[in-house]
Amino acid sequence: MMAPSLPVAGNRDSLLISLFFLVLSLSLFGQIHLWVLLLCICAAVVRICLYSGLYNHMPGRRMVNLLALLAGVALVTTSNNVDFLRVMVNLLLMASSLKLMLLSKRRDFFQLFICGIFLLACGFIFYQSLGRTLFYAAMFIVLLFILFSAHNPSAGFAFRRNKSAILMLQALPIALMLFVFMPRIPPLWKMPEGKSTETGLTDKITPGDIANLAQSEDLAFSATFTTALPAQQSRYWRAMTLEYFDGKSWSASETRLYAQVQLQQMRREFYPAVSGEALRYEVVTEPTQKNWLYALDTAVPDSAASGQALWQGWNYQLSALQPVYSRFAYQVASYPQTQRVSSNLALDKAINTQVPERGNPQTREWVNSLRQQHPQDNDFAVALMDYFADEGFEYTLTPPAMLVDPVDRFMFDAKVGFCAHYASAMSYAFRLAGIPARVVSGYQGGTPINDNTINVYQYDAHAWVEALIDGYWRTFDPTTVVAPSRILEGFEHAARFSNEMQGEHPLNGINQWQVFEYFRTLNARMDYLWNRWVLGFDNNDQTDVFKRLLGDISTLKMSILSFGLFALTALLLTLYFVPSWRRKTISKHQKRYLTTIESIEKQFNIRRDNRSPRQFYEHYKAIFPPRLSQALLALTQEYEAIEYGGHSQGVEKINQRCRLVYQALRDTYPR
Amino acid sequence: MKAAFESLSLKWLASRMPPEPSHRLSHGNIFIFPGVFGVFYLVMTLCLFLLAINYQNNLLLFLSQFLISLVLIALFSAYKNVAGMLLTAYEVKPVFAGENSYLEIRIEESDKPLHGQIEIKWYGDKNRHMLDLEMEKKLHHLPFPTATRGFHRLPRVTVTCSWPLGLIKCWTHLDFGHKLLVYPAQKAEQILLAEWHSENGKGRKNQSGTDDFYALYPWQAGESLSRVAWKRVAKGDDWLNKVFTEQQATSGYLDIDSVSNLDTETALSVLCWQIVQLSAAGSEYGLKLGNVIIPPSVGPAHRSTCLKALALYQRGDTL
Repeated sequence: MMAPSLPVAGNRDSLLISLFFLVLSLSLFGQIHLWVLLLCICAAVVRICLYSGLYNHMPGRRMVNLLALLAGVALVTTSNNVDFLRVMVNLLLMASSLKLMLLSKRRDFFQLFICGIFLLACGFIFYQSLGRTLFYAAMFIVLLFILFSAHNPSAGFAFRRNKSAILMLQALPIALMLFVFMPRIPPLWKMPEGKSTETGLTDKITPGDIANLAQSEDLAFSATFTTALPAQQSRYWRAMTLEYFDGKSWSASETRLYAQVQLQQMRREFYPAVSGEALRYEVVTEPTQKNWLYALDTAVPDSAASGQALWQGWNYQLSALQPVYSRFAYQVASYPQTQRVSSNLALDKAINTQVPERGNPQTREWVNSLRQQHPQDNDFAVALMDYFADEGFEYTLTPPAMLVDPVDRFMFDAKVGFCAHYASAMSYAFRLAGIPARVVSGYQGGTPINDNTINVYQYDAHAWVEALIDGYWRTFDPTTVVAPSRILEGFEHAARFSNEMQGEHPLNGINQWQVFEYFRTLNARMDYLWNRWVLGFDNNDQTDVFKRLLGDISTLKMSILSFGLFALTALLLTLYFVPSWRRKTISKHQKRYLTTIESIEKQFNIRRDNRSPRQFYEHYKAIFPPRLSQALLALTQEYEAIEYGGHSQGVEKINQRCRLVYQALRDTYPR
Repeated sequence: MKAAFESLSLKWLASRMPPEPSHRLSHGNIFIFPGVFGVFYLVMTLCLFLLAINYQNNLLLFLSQFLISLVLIALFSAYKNVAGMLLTAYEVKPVFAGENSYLEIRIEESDKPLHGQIEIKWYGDKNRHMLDLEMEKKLHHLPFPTATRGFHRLPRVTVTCSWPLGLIKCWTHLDFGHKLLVYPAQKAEQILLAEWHSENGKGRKNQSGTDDFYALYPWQAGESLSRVAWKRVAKGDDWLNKVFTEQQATSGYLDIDSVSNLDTETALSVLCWQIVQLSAAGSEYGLKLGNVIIPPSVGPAHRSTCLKALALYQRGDTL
């Protein structure tokens, strides 16, 4: 029980909870408005002043209400284009800091606790890395400690620390059991989507976007192969096809999306005819809030569970049925040798020959003349690639801005750019020549972290071209001819050795140290394990655990298991709360007696072993000097009187006798 | 409706926890349920759980499951903390109407130390009193405001504890079975002592004079309690006997009929004040309240008898 109203000055728990909110708001720095952060800092300062007694007056309720009104208006005006979750976090933090200024009641304290837990939970939604998780877990422990402290106002720090730790440790096994064994429930309703600020690909490419992306070191996904790793230059991870071009940017085609919705409703999934050798692997993606998934070349789901959760689009694109809100693992098999037949020739042609009616006149003219020279589609494609190879194009991540007729500017003036520029220009050229073509956005390469796992980072983002030639979709990557190192050795390598990138990319320089490289790999592996087994622990993994425990799953066995879990919980609780097995606490006079005997033992180098006090005295009295012998006899008698005689107030007397023994000891061997 | 429910629950409590001067808390008399904060906490946990499944976020899922497990642990810890606690209440001293009477409640632990704070209040009352169980001396004086004279049955005492986290509330409604005697309020007004006419004609005995205090001697078991120097005892000294050279005092009867110009309650208040005064002065006095006649005497015991008679005058309850 806490007192219904808390003192203002010198209240430890109020101070602790305000410091907690200060640290929490600082940790959410990227997610909240700056003014909300300032408000939190203000609240903490107010609390510190009140605690130390520098200032004795709580801010008036009327003043804080006015502040709340202003803050509410500010929140509404600054929250355009901010997604729902972040608005909620801002609102909660704002309300908490205002409450902190007024904190004077038990009720306020409890409200703050609940807000604190909610904010921590939002932290888990925003950030899921190992480090962040540890940080928020520590914050959670601190918050529980504060709550416990508030209920033990006069207990010492050691007691509060130990007891709250015990409470949490007792709850931990039960929580772990729930986590592993409680059935997973699919999402009940669709949550408001967050903007994917953290993850790289967008469903619209305007050359210029990907330059920013290349700077991001965040993990996009990991792939663990059960077959051999494919070579670096053939690792093209498709994510989405961009089939609509407006002269500047490429985006997903409305027609395609509409067709996809219709087909999904009719449950008409596309089953590509695959051939050749398979690459089998499992992908664990980071949350993107989007449906798209990553797979090499032509891929099909490789497990029953993946088959249910994945949708094969008619553009050879795998996607998830639910947006990927958290780590998501799926098994796929890729068949790189498959010739991709157009799934619906009429539709593919209609969508992929669309070009804007006007713009980029130079390119139109140039393509017309080139097409006349190469009426064959294949020859035309070769000629296009040759053009990029021979005309002095360069690869750069910092191209000049190309605002009007960007393709013309790129093809004939600047001649510098990155993958998106090349893919965009090439697809456009194909389309002008009447050959269906589209931009594919995804990742290229990836860094192996061990013999069978590849980590793909945001800076591996790439864009390339697929053209429909002779009824088959063929892949062209114009970037290869311009910057072969980008494809052969990966983005990281290319960036490190390209002069223009020196000092700009976060990986530069540091990587050359062997030690750093070692830790980076170690870190990547730990992240992988964390992602795979904690964040990505799902239905399938749970079923695996059941299978490993039970052999095979039957209703009977499952009911035995659930009963067993109940029994286990009950057993745990019995262990915690039935005290019989606990060590008996010894009383004060026993303690005092034992320490005194210990000093005698040390000085005379003897052992009491399991003799009773009386036996001890009788056994050794001969070797003690008379004074000590007397004092010890008195102590023994007194001890017996308390222990067996039922005297209750003997501690004082025992103390007195012990002092006499100590005096005798000192006099025996004066130091 | 509410009153009916209240009387029903009191009846149920009476059958379940009959009055007893001391109670040891156990599963028989502890109620345990999430408090208001606990309910909000559970709602929050449910919200987190929904968030976790909708975002398919394992960290959030684990957090919500941990919060639930914590409730389970808190439930048992809360019970274990209060179970075995021994609450004893001592007889309450009579007070004058309008004063606060204090029920002294002593709390003892069984074999393990008690933690946290408890909230003590009268059943159905809003005034809460906090007691820290970490303190060496676990003693609480629970004030009971009085208004009318007579015997009052003290209501049940509600003791609540929500250690360790405030999520789970353990409470009990204890009846210590004590009755409180409330004397009439004092009203200062001089009245004359009616003369004492002895029925067998011994004559007057209203010697006036003051008591001459002589000395203090150690009190010995068996001697009257009435002469103990209580003030010294209260200060912590040994028990001493007050010895007077002469037991002389104004003597006579206080008669309710002599103040019949006042209404009964005021009259009683005046008599009450008078008794207190006379008693403090060490005078000898008697009391006549209609049929009730208390012969003159001195000392605290006599004073109590007289005041009790005043308190119960024309009240049916002669407990």
